[in-house]
Amino acid sequence: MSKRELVSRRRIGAGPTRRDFMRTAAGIAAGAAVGGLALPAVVRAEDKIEGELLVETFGGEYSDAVQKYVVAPFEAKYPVKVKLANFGSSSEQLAKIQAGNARVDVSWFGDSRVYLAIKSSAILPLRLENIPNFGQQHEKFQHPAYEVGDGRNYSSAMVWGDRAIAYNSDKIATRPVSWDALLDPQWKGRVALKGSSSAMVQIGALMTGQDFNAIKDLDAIEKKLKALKPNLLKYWGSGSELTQLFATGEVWIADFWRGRVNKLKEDGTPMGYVVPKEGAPSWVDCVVVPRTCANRRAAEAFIDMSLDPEVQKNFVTKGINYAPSNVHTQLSDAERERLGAWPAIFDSAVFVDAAYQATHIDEWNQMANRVKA
Amino acid sequence: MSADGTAAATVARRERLKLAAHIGPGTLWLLVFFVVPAFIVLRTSFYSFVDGQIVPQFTLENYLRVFREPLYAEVFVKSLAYGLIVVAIALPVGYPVAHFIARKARRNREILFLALIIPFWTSIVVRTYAWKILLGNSGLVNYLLQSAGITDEPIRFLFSLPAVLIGLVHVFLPYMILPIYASLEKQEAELEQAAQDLGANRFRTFVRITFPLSLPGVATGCMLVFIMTVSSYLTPDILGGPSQAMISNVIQSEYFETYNWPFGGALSVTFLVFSLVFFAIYSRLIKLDGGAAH
Repeated sequence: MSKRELVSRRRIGAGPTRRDFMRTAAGIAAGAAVGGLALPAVVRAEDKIEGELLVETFGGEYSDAVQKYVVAPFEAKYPVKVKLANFGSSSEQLAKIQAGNARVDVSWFGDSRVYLAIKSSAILPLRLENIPNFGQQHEKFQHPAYEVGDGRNYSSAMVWGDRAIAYNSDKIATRPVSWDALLDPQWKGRVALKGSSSAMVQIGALMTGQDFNAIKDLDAIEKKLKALKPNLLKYWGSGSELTQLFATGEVWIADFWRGRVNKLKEDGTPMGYVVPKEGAPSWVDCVVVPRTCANRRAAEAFIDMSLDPEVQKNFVTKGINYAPSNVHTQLSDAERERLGAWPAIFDSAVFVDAAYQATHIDEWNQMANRVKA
Repeated sequence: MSADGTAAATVARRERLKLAAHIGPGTLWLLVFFVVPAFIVLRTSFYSFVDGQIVPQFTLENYLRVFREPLYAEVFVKSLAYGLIVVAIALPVGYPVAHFIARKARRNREILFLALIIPFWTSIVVRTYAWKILLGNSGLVNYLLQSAGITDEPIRFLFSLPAVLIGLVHVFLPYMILPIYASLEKQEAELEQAAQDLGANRFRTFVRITFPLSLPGVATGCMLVFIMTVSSYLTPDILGGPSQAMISNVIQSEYFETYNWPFGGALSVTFLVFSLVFFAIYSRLIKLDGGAAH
């Protein structure tokens, strides 16, 4: 027996060496981070709607609304125990779902991340025969711009909205009509802009008369954003951050979400909200079935419940105040006005073309970092 | 082999076991939560990024881009400059505090020491937000200025470079004070007495004896504050305006906005290598460990 064999035998006898361990640990962790993208989907077809369902959604009020207006009626209808958990952002959630280490049966998801989730096989196609309410959604959610367009559907929509001009109506007396209002030197140091690169590009594109789903002149956008910078107090990150900046009077005008503006108004800040003539980017909160789903049939029943017109009405009027995805949701005129749920707004809404964004986001982010530097 | 030899071998083995027991848990912890993730970052930094997807295909493009685009060098230099400024403020602010606790505060030393440690019990997020409340338009500072009739309108402190620097100095100051305190505390009191016996006044004693002997602590404090400042993310994010993004903020945008983990990884690795080289030169020049005990 050669010396080398002896050594290797001893190693076998002694159990895994440190190097083996490191290799395994690194392999597991690395696999979890990137390799998971290629794992085949675990698909279980079950017919019965029962058992346990692990649902994950955005935290805070959103989670409360999901619990009260979706989970509660679902549990009342089916013998399913729902466990609701929260996540911080769609980016975080995408990383988690792509890693595929934890079971998640149903997840909420921002529209801009749906495309990447599909491309990396992190979510399963929906079996529409199990989701009869799917067809009650607006056409834009049945054939969404934010999916890959492979003839299958991977997401349903819950609520949607736009990001338009929010302004303090005490400080800014004339109602702004154009995104150019953000450039007005009168409001120097009172302007905020959403600081993510895609958000910056969207507003920059609208300001330069371009379609943010087919940008012709990125340099013009960069110039415009650089021209806007001296007016800016801050690039805002989270909704709660900008809410606070409006409430304390530090920011007077910014791109913001309708629901947040309504909330500010209710809490006493004099606010206006206007979709400018150039239009406003729209967003959707989607619901998806991650590939780590272990109760697919119940997951689909849950999604069907989330699309139920009655569930949607309660969700948007009592919970999260945005427009429902189901066009058959019965709303009063006042509610439509408040939620931005008029059919005309649906029809003019422009959603992000996710495939286009995915191929350009790198360039956009570099540009955005140049503007911020 | 004598009985002595066997005994020596037993002792040696026991020593080795003891050593393993001491450093084992820490090593394992670092291995799993630092070395492995760092390795993943390193590996990913050589991957390609195609159509929004990470493709495990070897490329050097990410590193080339770090050096090709002037943007990243600019942000890097800006971060280094913030680091130097924060050190330049924290040292003169922190040194007297450390000196006071080590030399003067005989009875209250424990209380003062506790006061230094207490901030660590509060999250850095909370401490940074506290500055938002203090410095805001309707914050305490503006309230006092207006009540005293010094200004009519609130002065804008927040979302500016000064706000970021104030926040950074505040958050990292204890890391300056503690090592200086440690090296002052270790000095033998007789040295200062001897200097004074030989005719040196207090100023001269400080300049010739106390300060030079505390230099290892000063060097360690400066290094800690510098490194932590340069890599800070939260403070520029919360207290900064539109122009205060530092290297960590740029790296974050690569990871969470574009999902370009390969390029984010290349930026992180480059930044880490620069920091290590800087640290190596610094510790060679200053002899961080050598002098610390004496």
